[in-house]
Amino acid sequence: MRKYTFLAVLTVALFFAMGSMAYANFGPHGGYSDDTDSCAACHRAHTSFSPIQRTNYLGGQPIGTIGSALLVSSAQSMREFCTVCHGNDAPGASTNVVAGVFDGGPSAPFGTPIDPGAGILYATNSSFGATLNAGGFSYLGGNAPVTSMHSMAPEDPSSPLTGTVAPLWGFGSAADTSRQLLSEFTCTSCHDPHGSTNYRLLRDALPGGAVGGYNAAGQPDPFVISSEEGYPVLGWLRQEAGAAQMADYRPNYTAPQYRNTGLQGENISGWCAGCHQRYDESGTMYDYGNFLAAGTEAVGAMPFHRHPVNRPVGMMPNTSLSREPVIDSKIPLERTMAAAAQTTSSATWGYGDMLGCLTCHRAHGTNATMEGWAESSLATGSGETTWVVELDPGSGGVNPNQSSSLLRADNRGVCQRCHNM
Amino acid sequence: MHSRKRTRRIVMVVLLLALLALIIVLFINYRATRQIGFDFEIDPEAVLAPPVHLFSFSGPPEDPLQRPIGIRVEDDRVYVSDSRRSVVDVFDLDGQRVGQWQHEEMRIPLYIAKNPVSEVFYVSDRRARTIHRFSAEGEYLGQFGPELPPDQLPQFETGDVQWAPVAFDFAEDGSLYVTEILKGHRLLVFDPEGNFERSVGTAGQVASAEDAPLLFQFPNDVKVFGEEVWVADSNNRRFQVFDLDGEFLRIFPSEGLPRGIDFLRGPSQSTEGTASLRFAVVDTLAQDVTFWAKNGTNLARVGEPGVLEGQFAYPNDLSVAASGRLYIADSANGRVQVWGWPQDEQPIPTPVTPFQWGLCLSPLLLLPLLFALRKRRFFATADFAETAFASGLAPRLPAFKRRWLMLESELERIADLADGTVKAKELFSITEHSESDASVLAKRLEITNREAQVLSIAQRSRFFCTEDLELRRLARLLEIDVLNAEEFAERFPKKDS
Repeated sequence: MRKYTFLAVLTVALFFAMGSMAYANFGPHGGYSDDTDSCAACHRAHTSFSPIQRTNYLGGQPIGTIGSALLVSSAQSMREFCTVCHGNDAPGASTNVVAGVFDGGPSAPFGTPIDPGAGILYATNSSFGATLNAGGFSYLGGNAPVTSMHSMAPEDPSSPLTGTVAPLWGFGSAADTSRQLLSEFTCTSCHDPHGSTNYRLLRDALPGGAVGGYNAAGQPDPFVISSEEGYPVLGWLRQEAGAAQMADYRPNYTAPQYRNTGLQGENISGWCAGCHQRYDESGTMYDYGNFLAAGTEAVGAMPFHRHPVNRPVGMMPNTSLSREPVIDSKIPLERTMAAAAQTTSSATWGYGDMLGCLTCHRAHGTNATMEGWAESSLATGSGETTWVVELDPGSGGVNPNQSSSLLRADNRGVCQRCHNM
Repeated sequence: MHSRKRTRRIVMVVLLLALLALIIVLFINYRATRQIGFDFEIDPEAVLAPPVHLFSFSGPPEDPLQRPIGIRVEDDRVYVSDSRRSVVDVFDLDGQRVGQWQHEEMRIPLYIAKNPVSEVFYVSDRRARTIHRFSAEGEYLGQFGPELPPDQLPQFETGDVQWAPVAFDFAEDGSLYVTEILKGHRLLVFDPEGNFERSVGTAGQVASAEDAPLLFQFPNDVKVFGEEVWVADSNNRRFQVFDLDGEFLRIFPSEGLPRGIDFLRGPSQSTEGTASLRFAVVDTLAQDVTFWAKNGTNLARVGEPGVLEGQFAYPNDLSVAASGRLYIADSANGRVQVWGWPQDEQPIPTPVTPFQWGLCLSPLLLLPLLFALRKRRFFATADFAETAFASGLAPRLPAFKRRWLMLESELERIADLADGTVKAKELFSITEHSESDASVLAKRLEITNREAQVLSIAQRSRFFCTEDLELRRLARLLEIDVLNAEEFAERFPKKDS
């Protein structure tokens, strides 16, 4: 036997022969049995040579890196490691996050039961060839170059976003007006490849604090859940019990089917605020801190205001209840806990459904383009305290970000799709 | 007896004894086996010398490879797909780019193979979800239409996409074997005319690589070898082997993330009866190449992660040339690495068997001749030369195996001496003394510098010829064979003795 026995990443699934069949539907990410071999898919206890370090947590909060992550291979970055399978070259996973497309099987007609006899051991409700819910880091839907991304260095060196290091907007306390740069942002900044209580392996802890996790009794306390078919809304259990939950789960990677927990701050937007901390500032509903001090956009000691989240769209004034609350599927809402799971490829929304961060923004990247007033800047008018908006063609967006800001629709289409009077 | 002479004789005896022993062993073996030579290979199937890195190439600097994914060597050409540049680059075996194939329909080319019957090249495309066809000259010939029967089409909306082909290879008769990942993950078999014949297997993950045949998880390579079809069941860390009809034969666990496979065929890796038993596997995550025997023996491993020569960054595919060279798509490093066995690269082959080694080393047997042919050094002083020329001894001094030496200062004194055809300035060659040797002698024997210089040369000569009594005394003290003219005449009575 060779000295180094390397197992594959994203390959190891679990067959549990006792009782009903249970499946590790989605690669080696979570649901581990006591005698799992999944660890060896990515780690070596004594023979790792990857320089990547693991994140250390104290009280549920990351406090820096400590020691080696013991990863197999010599990956210099987590992105390299993850895109061996989730990339745009030789296929190793159906979720191609570089091209932002669901481009491989197996998939099955919606509602198709898993039939071990036929050998279809897992299925999704995703649409082949469709754009991933979160978008992509280089392209959207496989073809369209992205115009903004969640700040990780793009996979494709020809991308215009190569080398972009964006500010971490809203990071820190309300009084903090500095710009925290996302210089080390990577896949595992948001996702925990070992599984978590949250939807899509979203981490249970972020710099702003716990955003999921297990209570003292070992029960999950997730922030992010979904209305996908078979999704365990109480959160993912640990180990073999978690694997058993996957047996009935049909993820939909191409049609957002979000769900709001209904708990104050413990929802998708609350999870995002684990880094964008001031966006969830609870002192007031919409104010989250002082305007940025740095840069030309400084307008003095005035508070920011933000669009409300975690509110049913039916609360909007002047809304006709005789029509859909959003006019197309570009704008997903979050179903309430009382709503039924969604077993179709697309989602329909009601006025009781809620909006959150992902209603307007994609998590990975978007190809939305900005023109007209969607490319503008604040500028001083005749007096120092008078600020006006000026067209800023070619800037790529509005200041201070000047990009498409992960928006789902061109220009301000995300506004019009709800405020469609 | 002088010590140097004794040492030489001992060395000669040892060499002759060793040679005699070798001859005896060869003779005994020959009597027993009727073959000359030793069989050092204990188990030919379990032995493979690791290849070495030969060179790398990435194309012209103005348009280098960016993300080589698939690679195929056919005849004297190396075909490399580049997923970033959406092209197939064509190189010669030394890495010089000689062509480039591209077409607007080709987006993310993956793997390459040539139909041995039509000699058309096929290139799978992940984004276009098709297999492109090119002539050997790079002319685009359209796409291979799988024309799958209705029951083989996905039962969900795909936008008229029939399949998502990944890897493929041809049998000698032109039958095509393709892995695809749309309707499950499976192996599709097409007849030489391109008609669908059967679908084998479906998608599934396995807990143990030896479990559950016919389940695939992102199969990233297919190679037809003889009567067998090998499928790299990549994410299930194994190979599944089928016959040409698609009937399952066996599972070969490889561990790791095997994505590229090819069979060894170079002269140094294949011995009679085992040529079909060895193959090389690219492991994308381990970033190395492993070599296996058909019986499951891991023969060798080469490469390590990194960016230097011989190091890999997520290699994805390999192809073995007829010469035995391995061409490896070093994907994240944007280059092709060429590995091989040095003995296959050498114009003059390295001996392998003892008999071959014996032939190679046989010229050493001639070494004793050098001793026999070596000229003996005669170091003389001027007074010896004057006596020899005066007494008529001079014509007996030259000989085939004698080399006469003299200090330059003394040769100048006797340069004009001659006796018939023998001329002093032609007979004697100038030599120089070793200052360190001379100083040691001078200190040790408490003699003059001139005496020390002469004796230091005399020590390195076979014979020391002088008439000087003091020098003769000192020479004997140093165990130097010293002669005066009279003694020389007695020792060498004939001219050519």
